[in-house]
Amino acid sequence: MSNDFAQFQEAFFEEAAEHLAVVEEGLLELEQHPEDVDLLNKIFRSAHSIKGTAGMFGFNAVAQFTHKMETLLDLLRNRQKSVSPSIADLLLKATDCLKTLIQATKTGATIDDETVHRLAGELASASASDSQASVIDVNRKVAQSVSAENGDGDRTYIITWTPPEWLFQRGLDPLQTFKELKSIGVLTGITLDMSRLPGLDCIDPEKCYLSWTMQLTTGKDLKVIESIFEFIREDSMLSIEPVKAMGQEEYAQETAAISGGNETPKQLGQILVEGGLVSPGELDRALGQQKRVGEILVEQKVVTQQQVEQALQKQRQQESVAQAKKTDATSIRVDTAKIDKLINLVGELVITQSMLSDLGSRFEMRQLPVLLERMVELERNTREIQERVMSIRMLPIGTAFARFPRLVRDLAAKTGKKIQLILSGEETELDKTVIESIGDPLTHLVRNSADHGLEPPEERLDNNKQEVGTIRLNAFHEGGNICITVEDDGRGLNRDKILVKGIKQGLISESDNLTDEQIYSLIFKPGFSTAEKVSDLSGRGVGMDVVKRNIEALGGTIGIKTVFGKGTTFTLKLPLTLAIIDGMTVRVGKETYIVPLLSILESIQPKAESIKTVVGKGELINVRNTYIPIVRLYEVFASEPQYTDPKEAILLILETEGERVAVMVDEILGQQQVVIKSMEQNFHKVEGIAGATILGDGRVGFIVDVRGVLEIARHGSPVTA
Amino acid sequence: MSAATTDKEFKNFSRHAASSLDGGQFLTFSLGEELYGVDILRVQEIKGYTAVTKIPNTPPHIKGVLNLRGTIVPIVELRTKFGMPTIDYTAFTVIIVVVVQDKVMGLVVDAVSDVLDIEKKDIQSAPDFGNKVDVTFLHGIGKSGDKLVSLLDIDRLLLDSTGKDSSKDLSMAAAA
Repeated sequence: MSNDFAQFQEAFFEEAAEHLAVVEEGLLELEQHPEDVDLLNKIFRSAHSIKGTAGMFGFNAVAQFTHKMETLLDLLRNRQKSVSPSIADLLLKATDCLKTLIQATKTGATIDDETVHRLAGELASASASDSQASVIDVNRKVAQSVSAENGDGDRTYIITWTPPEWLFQRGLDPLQTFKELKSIGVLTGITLDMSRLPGLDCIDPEKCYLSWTMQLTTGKDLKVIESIFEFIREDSMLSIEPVKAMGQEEYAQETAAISGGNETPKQLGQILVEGGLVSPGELDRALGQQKRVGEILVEQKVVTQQQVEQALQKQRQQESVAQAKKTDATSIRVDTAKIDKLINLVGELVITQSMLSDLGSRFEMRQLPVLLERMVELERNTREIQERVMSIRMLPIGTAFARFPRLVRDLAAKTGKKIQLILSGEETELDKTVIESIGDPLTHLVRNSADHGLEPPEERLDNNKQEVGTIRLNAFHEGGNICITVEDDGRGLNRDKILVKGIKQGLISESDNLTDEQIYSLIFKPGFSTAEKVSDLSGRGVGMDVVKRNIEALGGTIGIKTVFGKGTTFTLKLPLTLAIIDGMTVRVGKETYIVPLLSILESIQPKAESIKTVVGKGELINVRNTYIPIVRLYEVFASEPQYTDPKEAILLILETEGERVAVMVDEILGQQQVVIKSMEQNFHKVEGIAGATILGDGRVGFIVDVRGVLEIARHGSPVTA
Repeated sequence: MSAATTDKEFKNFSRHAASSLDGGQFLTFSLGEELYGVDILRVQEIKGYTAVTKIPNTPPHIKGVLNLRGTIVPIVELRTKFGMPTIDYTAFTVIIVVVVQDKVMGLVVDAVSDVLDIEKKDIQSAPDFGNKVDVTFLHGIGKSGDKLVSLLDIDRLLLDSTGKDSSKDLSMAAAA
């Protein structure tokens, strides 16, 4: 498959994801407002778009499945069936299935055929039973009206019509004929025969190559039917044959099957099988003989087997890379206004630059103030452009929140609890990569709140609470960070229970004198769970530690606030972007390092008496009556320091994963925003270093990975050890 | 890095695999009295030596990293890599920036000398010294007039030196 095509496919997957989100969101809302036709139309449109584009790209499995959904949606839309909870549920399940299908198409993963078939079947039966009913309904009406007119019963005719080739040349339209036929009865089962259609290269657009077979149920006379074909009768091949009346049920089934199939063009094989020209077995055998492109090319000696295998290898690699990237869409839709502003700014930048070069070409000392003024302007331009470019990567967090209404709905159904979800601050913008990465941790937290936090309705009523539990998701900016809170009004964390469990699991000892905060943070330890029983939702003790790790990997922090019996609030604090961090530049000997500001609690110049040692070596610093271990950065990074005496140096009190550590550096140089550059791009990960950046003088500086530094200090580095 | 450049580099890479054994143009440089050659298609640029930032806890032949127009580029000192004594850097000391698969790296060498055309018939396979001398990162030995050029397999050389098992590699070099 060519690269160009793949590019469009990428667009399809992105678009499909958007449409799926609309469908899902709409269905959830539909449950609340089953009568909302606008909503149904919206859902239908999105489903239809998926079907259309999927068909265009030849993703037949997706198109066919969507088509089944669409049939059902169409019935709902036309008020032929009303939205029942079971239908909504089925449609939601189908949406999930469709999501998996599309994902599978994207990654080339195998599809769980059974589920797809089962759901497709359910969809079909849900719509079939309905259309059956409606067709019968229509039939009855027609029958009634006809019998009222004629007093005669309906008859069904099979009409086979091959119009003359000059049909179009005389300005005649077959559609008109069908309309007339329809006006006298019920026209069903129209099939189009395209067998006479020549190849595209020798087709004459003015000639008609088509013929039709249809069923007409009418109370009118045969002559009336024939009169419709009067003008073209002579040159047409026309047969009108009455058939014996079908049992209504049989008939309705047939029409239902046809109405289910006539919207997407059938595949050739399918048509052949239906026409009785080949048996399904023959078709399968023929399909089995179809060769893969590679095999054909090898046979034709265009390429060698080896080359094909190499290409396949490459393809597999690309696939695995694509999978590794998970569902990351690689493009962003940007508001045009943002781009316009950016273009304006670039224009200003160009002007400033030309003014500067003009000034530089004939510079005299007395123009120094002008130069400085221009420099200030340049700085302003640069900063604004930086901000604007960053804002292009910013997306409203609502995209990450979108999945929760569904999740909470399902959780409520599973746990038998009544839960309402309140979202706020969806418009808060943050970096696309951050949004993509916080989805999973947030899901864990919401799930946790629903499963552990909120009580069952009876218990809530006993405790004088509203029967319906509330989970509140909120996002807002605070300083240079974004805060996301997940709040529930459930039972809150049980301090004593956690304490007991912590001691039992050996995470803490009884003699430890812990603050409430420290006790609560125990739930972030791997393997910790206070749930009495492991449920399918949570309680396995994995989750919270993963949440914490993920959040910290993003350079964020997580905090808990809880009141026993009242509820729990988790607060995530995240950087706005991953590309730029606020850092403290520090110096150790001749080297400059950047310490992420988020992890710095304070920095102190220690007094001699506040430093104590244990076992002769392990140094501790007393900070307001807490002893914190000292790590000498020059030892960790094996460099030459200016000071080896902590009294002369500076200690940065850093926090990582709830632990505090005092890192010793020579000097603090300042605070600045730094652009993170990847070390992995041309090298590999270095322990203790989170990334690199370019310093003001053009040299490379390293960003300290606090956790990694702590690990090296404890266990030694992998190379020097 | 965009897909287009990666693709280009990939082509470079595959072209290289054929060209260096088949002969072609080589950028030659000196380490002491010895002459080495790198397939010219793999060379991105040559730049004068500028101070680098040392990466903590890496083997000694990883000199550090350099800011090359906004990209962080690791610099390998070939003398140390080959277990040769280090010398003071002079005005001739240069960094040859090469592309190894999709990574960009720099090699510190004593001096660049020439671009030589070496035909296939003038290339013989690397001599076998047994355990005494490690020649696994040589493609072969090329003759040009009375000069002998050791043709480097920079993929093996550099991917080893930045890989995690570089310490093992280093100890072999030290033993030799």
